[in-house]
Amino acid sequence: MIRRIILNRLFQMIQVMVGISLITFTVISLSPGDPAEITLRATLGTESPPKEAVAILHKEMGLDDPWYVSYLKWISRVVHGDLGYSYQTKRSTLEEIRYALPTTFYLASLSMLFSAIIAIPLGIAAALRQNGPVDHLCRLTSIVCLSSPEYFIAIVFMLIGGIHLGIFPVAGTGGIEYFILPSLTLSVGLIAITARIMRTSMIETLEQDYIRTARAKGLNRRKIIQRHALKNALLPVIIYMGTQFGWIFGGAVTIESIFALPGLGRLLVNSVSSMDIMVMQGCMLTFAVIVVLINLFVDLVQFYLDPSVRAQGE
Amino acid sequence: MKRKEGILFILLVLVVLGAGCTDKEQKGDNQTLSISGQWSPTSIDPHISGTVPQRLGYVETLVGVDYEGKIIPNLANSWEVSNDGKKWTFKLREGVLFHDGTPFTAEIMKKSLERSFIQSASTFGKIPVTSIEVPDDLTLVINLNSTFPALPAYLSKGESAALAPGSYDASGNVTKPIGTGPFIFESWKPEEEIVIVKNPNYWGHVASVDKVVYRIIPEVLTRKMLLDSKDIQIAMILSPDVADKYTEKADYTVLEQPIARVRMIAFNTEKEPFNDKKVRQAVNYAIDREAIVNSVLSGYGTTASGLFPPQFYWANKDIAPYTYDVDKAKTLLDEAGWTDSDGDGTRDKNGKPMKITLVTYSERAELPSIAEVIQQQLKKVGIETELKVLNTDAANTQRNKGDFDIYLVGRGLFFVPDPDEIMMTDYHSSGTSIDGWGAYRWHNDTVDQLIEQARTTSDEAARKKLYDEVQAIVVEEAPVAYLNYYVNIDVTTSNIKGYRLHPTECSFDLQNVSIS
Repeated sequence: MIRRIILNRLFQMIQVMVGISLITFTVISLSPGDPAEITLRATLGTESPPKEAVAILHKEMGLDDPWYVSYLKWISRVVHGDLGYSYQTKRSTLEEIRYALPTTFYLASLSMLFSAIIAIPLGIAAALRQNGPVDHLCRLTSIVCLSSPEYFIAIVFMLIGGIHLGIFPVAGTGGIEYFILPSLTLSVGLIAITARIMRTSMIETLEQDYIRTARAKGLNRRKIIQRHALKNALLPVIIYMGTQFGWIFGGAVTIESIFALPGLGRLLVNSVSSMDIMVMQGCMLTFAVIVVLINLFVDLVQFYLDPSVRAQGE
Repeated sequence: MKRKEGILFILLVLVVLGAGCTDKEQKGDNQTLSISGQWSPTSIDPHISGTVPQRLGYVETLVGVDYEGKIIPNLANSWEVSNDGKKWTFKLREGVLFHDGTPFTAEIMKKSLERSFIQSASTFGKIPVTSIEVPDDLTLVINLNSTFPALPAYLSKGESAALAPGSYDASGNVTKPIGTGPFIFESWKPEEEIVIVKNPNYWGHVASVDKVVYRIIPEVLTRKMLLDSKDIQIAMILSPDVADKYTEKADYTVLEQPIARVRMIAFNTEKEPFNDKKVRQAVNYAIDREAIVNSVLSGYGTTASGLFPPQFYWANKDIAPYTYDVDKAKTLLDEAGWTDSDGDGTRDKNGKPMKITLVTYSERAELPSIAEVIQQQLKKVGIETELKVLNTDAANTQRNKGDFDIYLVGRGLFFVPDPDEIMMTDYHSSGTSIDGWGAYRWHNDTVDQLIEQARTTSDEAARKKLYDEVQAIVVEEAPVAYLNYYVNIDVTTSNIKGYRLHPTECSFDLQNVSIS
């Protein structure tokens, strides 16, 4: 059964990847600037590289071919693990991504952790005391978190955590301390929604018959929540957070630039601003692979945790 | 259970706070200087990307540039040129060692130069060099096929740096740059940081700080935050609005330096309406330069009258600037045949409205704002301007295709501290037809002749006269409109002493910096 799900998902993944690669390739091809000319401008250090050189590189890069031929050539190289190279650093795209990915992964994971630590207790507390002060606080927190742009939140955190309190480094990399402020910034949006989902899910669960039965049996409130309600109430939260892991990767684009973290987001921003085509394509593809893999993982988790999904499969 | 959760929470808080404390302890190390700028080398090879290595001082060139923009001895003690101006003999400094202990010799310098002439052909290709000879260990002779007085200026570029043989791998690629400078290259994380350490055996003034961490932070605001948190002691190139906040603070020092860079607009002289000199002049009169400096640049900058800022020797200080004169602009446009015949507020000619495109880029944050001001100012004389703000590469591609009417740019002038490079690239027809950020597709025979004459004239005063004439013609013919000169603003913590900003940006002068 599980094998069928995985195979099914992997097949879907291939379809999604083809779609994403096609869109990415087309969008990048349509963006302003001639990649051959830009590459030569950087490598030769001249404003207008010789037309002959541009023509040769055009041919080498397959820019003279119709777009579908270029795409097929590119995708066949990608399948063979060749993502090209960065004309700026002269390193392979794969090497660039391998260097940047751990930073982004670390950042995203820590953000998930922060949002779980903050949002889940907050949501539970709000559900248990509906319309009480904690519930109002939860609602207010959600509204504030959702309506504040990441850039603004980043600056506020920098000012508070880095400058006024002087506890955390403001930017750059090093130990875990360098990831605290960016991860918190990144987790803010997630906290807002996760807390709301947790609240709703907990309220719904507490209204279920088996909870009423447990209450009738005389179990105390704490035990009911811990042993019976929490597991079921957490399911939608876990699924939501899982799917948002990919979104967090996307959010890293802004955060890494502000906090000067050398991750995948900053690599993408740099490659876009310098029109480093192959790195751009490589980054986009990596983001796509990550999102698809995370979705697969979430599906599997759901399969294990949710009896209704398992029953459906069977 | 409650107790357990409590302990866990306290532990988590302690871990997080503890992590922060480690950093604070590191900040206490006063022998390490942390600085931050926006520039990152594109390669570890200084012969390809030499600006940052030169600024940080881990590589050096034969000649240097002083704080007046003049050429001074560096790895070469002295030099002389033959009477025909074709043979340059450089006497090298004695007793200089590379960072790995290899003695600096003419033979090594020759190999370095030959390599850099290939690696950075776009710059050094302008030098008419035929051969390099090494008569002895401390003499280097460069033979040219024509007189070329700007040679030492070209050799001050970081890309011509001396590198020890140990810098290369078996295929001749640079794996670790080993130079002769006051600092030794230690490590580089691309787009992140470069770490250099003091060279105790430096031939000149030995640095006071033990180590320098140069952090590459493209965001101005992040550099500011790092400075506020004292994570760095020098924040480079801050915007005027950010720098203003430090002027009243006692624990910071604001440093300003007019530099060799001009903000200007280049006209597309290839097509209507700017193929007409009167229209170009009209735009020059229609722009209120003073207003741009005051409103967009918060007063950091000076209005420009010609190509070079007046503090440099090569500037023609007699050029009368274009004054802000709307009436004169309108008259010139009328004379050029552009009138508002249908009364819609936009001028037209032969039924074609005067709608132009201004292309610029956003990497230099003030340019889009300046573009907006220009748009408003041109509207006052009946010119409708569409703004296209792109990234540098896209903007350049647009420019190279001629797909613009006005191109707004911040142009560096003395990367080679001699007018030859900029004149050849931006104003000589061989450059304007293919290259450059200056006069687009502009051709003026007199200017061509003057530039050619100046590049082969040995007498400096005579050269200056020729370049003065070129500058005057360019202002009169107006293929470009000079707007204002740059002022770089760096802010340091007040315990930093001896830090100076260089007018040609070729050095951070870190060997003279100390932390009190």
